[in-house]
Amino acid sequence: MLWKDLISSSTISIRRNKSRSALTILGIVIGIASVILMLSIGQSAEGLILSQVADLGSDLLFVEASAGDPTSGPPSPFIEQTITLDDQKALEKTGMFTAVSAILASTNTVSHEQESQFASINGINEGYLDIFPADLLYGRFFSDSDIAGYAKVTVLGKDLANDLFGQQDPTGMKVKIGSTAFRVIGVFDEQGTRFFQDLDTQISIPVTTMQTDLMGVDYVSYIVARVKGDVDLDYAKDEVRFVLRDEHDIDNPTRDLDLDDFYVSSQSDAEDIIGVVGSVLTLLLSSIAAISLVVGGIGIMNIMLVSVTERTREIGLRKSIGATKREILQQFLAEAILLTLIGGIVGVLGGILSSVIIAVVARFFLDDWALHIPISAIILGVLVATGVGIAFGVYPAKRAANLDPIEALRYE
Amino acid sequence: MPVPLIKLKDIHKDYVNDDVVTSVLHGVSFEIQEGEFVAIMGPSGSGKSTLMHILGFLDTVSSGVYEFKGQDVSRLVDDQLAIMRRNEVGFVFQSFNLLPRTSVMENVALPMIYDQVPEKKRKEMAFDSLKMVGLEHRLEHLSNQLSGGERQRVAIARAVVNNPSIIFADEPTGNLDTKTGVEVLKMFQELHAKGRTIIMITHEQEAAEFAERIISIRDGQIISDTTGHKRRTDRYSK
Repeated sequence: MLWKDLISSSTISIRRNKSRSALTILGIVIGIASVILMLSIGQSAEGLILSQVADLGSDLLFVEASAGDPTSGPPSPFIEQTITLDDQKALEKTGMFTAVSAILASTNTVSHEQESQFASINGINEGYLDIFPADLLYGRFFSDSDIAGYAKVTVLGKDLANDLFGQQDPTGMKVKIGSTAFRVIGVFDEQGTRFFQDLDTQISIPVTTMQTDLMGVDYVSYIVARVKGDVDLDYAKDEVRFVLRDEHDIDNPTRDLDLDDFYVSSQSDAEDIIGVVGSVLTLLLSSIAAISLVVGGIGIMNIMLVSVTERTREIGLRKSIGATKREILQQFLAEAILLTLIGGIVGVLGGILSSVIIAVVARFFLDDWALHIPISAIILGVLVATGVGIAFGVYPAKRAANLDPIEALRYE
Repeated sequence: MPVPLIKLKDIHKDYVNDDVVTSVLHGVSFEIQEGEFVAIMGPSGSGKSTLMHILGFLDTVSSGVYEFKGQDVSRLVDDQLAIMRRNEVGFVFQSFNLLPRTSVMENVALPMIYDQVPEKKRKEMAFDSLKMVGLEHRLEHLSNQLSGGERQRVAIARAVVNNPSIIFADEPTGNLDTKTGVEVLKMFQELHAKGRTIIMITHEQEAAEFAERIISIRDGQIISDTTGHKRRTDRYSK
């Protein structure tokens, strides 16, 4: 049998059962489309996070509480909060940083008269703006004395200010966080999102006030420090560890990160971790999608088996006019592959289309969402579809090829 | 005496099913020359179908020798049998066995696909063959849009399309009414007149009488083999 005839006879028999063929490939279409969609979402999300991390600048160090080295094993579920404002001051004293900010984060109800919002609250200090630059729409930012004096003052995110006060300038007015009253001294201009958090709906207060008046704790969530231009980042990391071990009375001459009760990371560490997490997530999502491909393949096999049974007499006839086993096998295999290939192509188009739709929708919420459709996913999709066609087409095709011509001709 | 097209010597065929041996043919011998029109006649269970399957390379013998064009073909295996069917044999079946929802043209051209005949040549040959059975005006009709008689004519066109050495017809009138049955039998006579070799399997005496030679078979053995009786061309009743 010529190649051309093999393909055209497969096309004819697929066309002979249009609606059944369409239903058969539906499983493959969905499978391939979801694999591509998942790979696309995974890559786009990873790209988004990485771009936000990159926006922070490569000269930032993060210090957070940790039971040992979080990259060397599973994280401990119970982490003692060990980072304090004393640590911040100790880091400032090293002279390696242009700014050091301790940050304590929480959530609470923020209200003004009848208006009330549930918001993220950031306890920060005067160095914050040197690390995460932002403009003020109204008023001023925290001063040294606000921090040192446990002042009950606050700077609002733009949208939160709008929700509570409307269009007017709220400086000098009162808001309540929980039941504690604060005086508004400023409003941030629009900041957008960072790590999927909408900064414009957040409220900031002095970290000292947050510790004593709101939470009654002596720790902070983490410390961010911006390294001076002439200081090597890895050197700075080691210095931070040295200082903090001293502060925390940790005896760690071997510099074993597992003995520390804190963890120092930089933006590039964060990128690495996010990269790994992103790949794992993408793999997970696509594996789930791949299961639907297997299910789709089984669907193909079922229909091909039905088709072989239904066309038993046709097979008998083809054998009686001289088709060899091999030729019958080829024909049914070609049909299965053609079916899955069509499914694969439709699935790729569907996957691209749905990725585009998702990207369009995502941009409403996340400005920086960029559409990624990995070429490898498309190639993979088509290859996998063909593979599924072969894998699940072989069994029905063998059944067809091994039919006895006499019995096949008599089959009712 | 020329080499016979078919020569059977003491053919036996047994089927083994769960240790039970069923003997279908025991000791069948005959010769068929090129250009003959032979009816193999017998009641159901006589072994005539098995005989046709062996002659038509769909089945193999248990013992005995089958010579085709002077060559021993009794020990051929699957693929060799397929090649013999492809090159030497055309079949016409009781139930037509056309591809459903497929054009008359494509049905007739089907055997040549396995012969790797290029598409243009296939169409020409299929057209010639269909013209011969008087269906050249039905080329693009689908097989299921035809009457029974037309379907059998398509099947005949398909059987002769690649000029086989021999045509087997297995109860070709079994699914047809009397009038169309006669038309089909006359068509075989026409083919025979043009020099074709035809072997027809039937259980009906009236149909068998359209052939020039009748081999009667019963219980796996030949009981009579007559040639040159008065041939029927006119009436035929079931």
